[in-house]
Amino acid sequence: MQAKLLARASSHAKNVLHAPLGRALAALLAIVVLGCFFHKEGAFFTWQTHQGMLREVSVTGILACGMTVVILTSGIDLAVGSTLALSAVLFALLTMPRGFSPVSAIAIVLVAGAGLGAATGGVIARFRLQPFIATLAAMVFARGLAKYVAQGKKITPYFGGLSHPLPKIFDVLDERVFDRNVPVVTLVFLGVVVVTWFVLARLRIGRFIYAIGGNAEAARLAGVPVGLVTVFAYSYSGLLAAIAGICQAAQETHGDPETGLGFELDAIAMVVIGGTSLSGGRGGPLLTLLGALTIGYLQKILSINAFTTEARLMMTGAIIVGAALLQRRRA
Amino acid sequence: MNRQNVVALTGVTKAYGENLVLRGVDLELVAGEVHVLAGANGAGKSTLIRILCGAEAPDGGKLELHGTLARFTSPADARARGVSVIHQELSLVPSMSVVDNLFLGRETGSRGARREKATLALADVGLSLDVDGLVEELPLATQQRIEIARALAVIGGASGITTARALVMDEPTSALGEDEAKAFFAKVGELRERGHAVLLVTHRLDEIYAHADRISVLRDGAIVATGTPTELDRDALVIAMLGTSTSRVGRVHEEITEKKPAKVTLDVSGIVAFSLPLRARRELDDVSFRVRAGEIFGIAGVVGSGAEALLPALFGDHAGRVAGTVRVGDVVLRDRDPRAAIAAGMVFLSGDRKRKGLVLSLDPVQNALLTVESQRPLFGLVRRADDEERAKPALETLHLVAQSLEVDVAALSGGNQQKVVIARGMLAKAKVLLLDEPTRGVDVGAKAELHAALRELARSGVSLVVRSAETDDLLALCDRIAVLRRGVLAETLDRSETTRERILASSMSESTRSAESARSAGSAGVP
Repeated sequence: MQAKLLARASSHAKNVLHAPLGRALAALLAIVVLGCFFHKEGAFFTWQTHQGMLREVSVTGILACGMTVVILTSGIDLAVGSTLALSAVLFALLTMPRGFSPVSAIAIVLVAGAGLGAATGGVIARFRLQPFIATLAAMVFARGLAKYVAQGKKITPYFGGLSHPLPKIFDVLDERVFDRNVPVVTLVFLGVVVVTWFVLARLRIGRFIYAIGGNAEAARLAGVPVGLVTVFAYSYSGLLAAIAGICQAAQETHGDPETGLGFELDAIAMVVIGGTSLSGGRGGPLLTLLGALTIGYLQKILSINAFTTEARLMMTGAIIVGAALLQRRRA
Repeated sequence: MNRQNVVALTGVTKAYGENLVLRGVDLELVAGEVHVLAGANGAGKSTLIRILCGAEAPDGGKLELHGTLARFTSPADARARGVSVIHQELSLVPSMSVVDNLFLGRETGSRGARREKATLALADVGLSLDVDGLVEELPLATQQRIEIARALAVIGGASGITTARALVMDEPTSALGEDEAKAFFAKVGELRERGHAVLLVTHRLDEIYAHADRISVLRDGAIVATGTPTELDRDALVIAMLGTSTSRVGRVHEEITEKKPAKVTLDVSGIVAFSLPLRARRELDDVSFRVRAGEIFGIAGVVGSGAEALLPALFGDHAGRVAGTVRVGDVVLRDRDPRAAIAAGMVFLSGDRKRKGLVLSLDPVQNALLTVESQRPLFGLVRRADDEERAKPALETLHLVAQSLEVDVAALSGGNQQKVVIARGMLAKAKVLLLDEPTRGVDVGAKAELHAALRELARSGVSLVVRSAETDDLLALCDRIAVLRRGVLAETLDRSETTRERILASSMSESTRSAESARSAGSAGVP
């Protein structure tokens, strides 16, 4: 009897390690342990390090949540980086030279981001265009639109030869709360994780997102409105890219049409390291949160140990492969 | 003739995690013998086959090939050493041509030579088709025959590449009509004569007793009975397969109560379906019928008769153009669109469960609820506990066997996956349920359970339209059976006047007979 219980307990432990969540935790833990060894005279143990990591990871983390939803449908969204830039530029333009109130500026930017995503999703659903191609087109288009809106310049308080005070909303978003411990942007990120979790786990459309990613044909024949759900997934990703763009503008205190270059790849890396399957149907935002933290700590450890950018890029690549191998489902 | 072992397994064990699937299996494949492996779903047959064909290494025990210890490193290795497999699930690459599929992984000779050999290999199984055509454009049954041709080609010498000594067949006839199955077994008989060893896995009792030289029964990962067909008769076999609890075996030919004329729930008229535009041909030609509430309506027909195309055409899953009208209840379906059909109360359960029937990465509960949920608001709240409560009755009625309700359906055996598909239909609250091969690849016990559940569904007022290649299935289940021949609904037989032979004769009768009946019908119209 006792042996049986023991066997069950050990198999339970094995299951935890085999479950995606367990493996994502293991990867994160491995990186943190690495940090404990290469702590650079204790720099890794200071609160500033962790706080900085959270701040740096938040904007891409928000993108990664939207990316998770799209990848769960077995799609991909390459447009998030340039949608972020477009949103940052639009937000800066509306709040500074145009003098919109923060609330209306935010509303307009969010609608624009979600609208761009919905258009992309609509093309994918209606014309059965491959998500890679459709979002590649959207990526190029949004970057162009961002540059057009900004007339190729950064939108700063001195845009157009005039001088506007930096609106208060920029400071609010770049603030740190709880005794200046937690960046507001990180709170936004965590909020986005929770909302994404809620959509996927507690709303019917979440079920359909998993169903479509698992087998779109079977889902369609079972009656799932595959087109609508696809449009939702991409517009949700566009919405989150807009939120990330607003945060980015606040952190940079201006709207830069060149910002967010390659962010879509960072977001995909976070999703994959978390353990959400690129072929769709399996995974979730909590995994992506762990993936984001793993990448964040990795970058932080490399930077406090003063590796050059070149070395950092190469090591990040190598470690992503390692983490992805660790995440692979065992037969 | 002395019995010469080609392949012998001794004490083979295999476990997946803590799940012991095979617990010491002994099995001999003897030259010139057809050995049938029978067993309920989940008995371990698939695993045993995977070991035999080199896809999986055993944990314990030994495998001997021609009396010497052997270890296969891969299916290609097993194949090269003379053990070839025909799988139940198709292993063809849909987007490749027929000839490329036949030579997949062993591309030898010029393309011209390969095309020639492919044509011969296909002729060997009675197929004549364009070897450059894509596999995905062919019906499922034809695909299965290509699969058979691929394995036979190694043996038969038509393409003469290697000489397989042992051939493992995992439900090779599950997608075949009766005449194709007959042709297939003629081929198997030929192989036996030539001294090959054949292991046949099948759920069809008739096939077992018509073709087996030896029968082994696998239950819970062990061989529980073995013997010649005379030593192991039908009753003994079924009991051995199911263990002591024979209660699961319902009476298949249950009395069907007389039904009062009920409201017509499905009215199909003038359905014409064209095959894909490239070679536009009428797969269905002016098919009309009506089904009443609570009625079970069968569709019979050999491969190529249009029987397989009918249900997808009604539901909106046909690749080519479809004309004609379909009325469900009071709703006339204008577009061939699954969502519109479901909204009107017509649900289709495809026989191609892995591609079209199930989301393999979801659990049984989510799969079973997918259709009923699809009609609800997208942004409604859902709760796991509610879902389980709603799905459980259907899954329990069908006696679903699963480690838990949270495991992916990918982990379930074929029969249990099929139960999940049927459960989705039961929970869909449909007026009309279109079922394509509802018991494909399902063992005897599970089949009885599925039949009982479907009859119960009909009793509650649902109209069922069932298409099956197995005439016995239709006879056990249906009130009326329509026979399709060359795309035309040739005749509709009432249950009382129908026998197996009658349906077979009707579906296979020559064009002369249909021409005759058309003539007589024509002359009857003249005053």
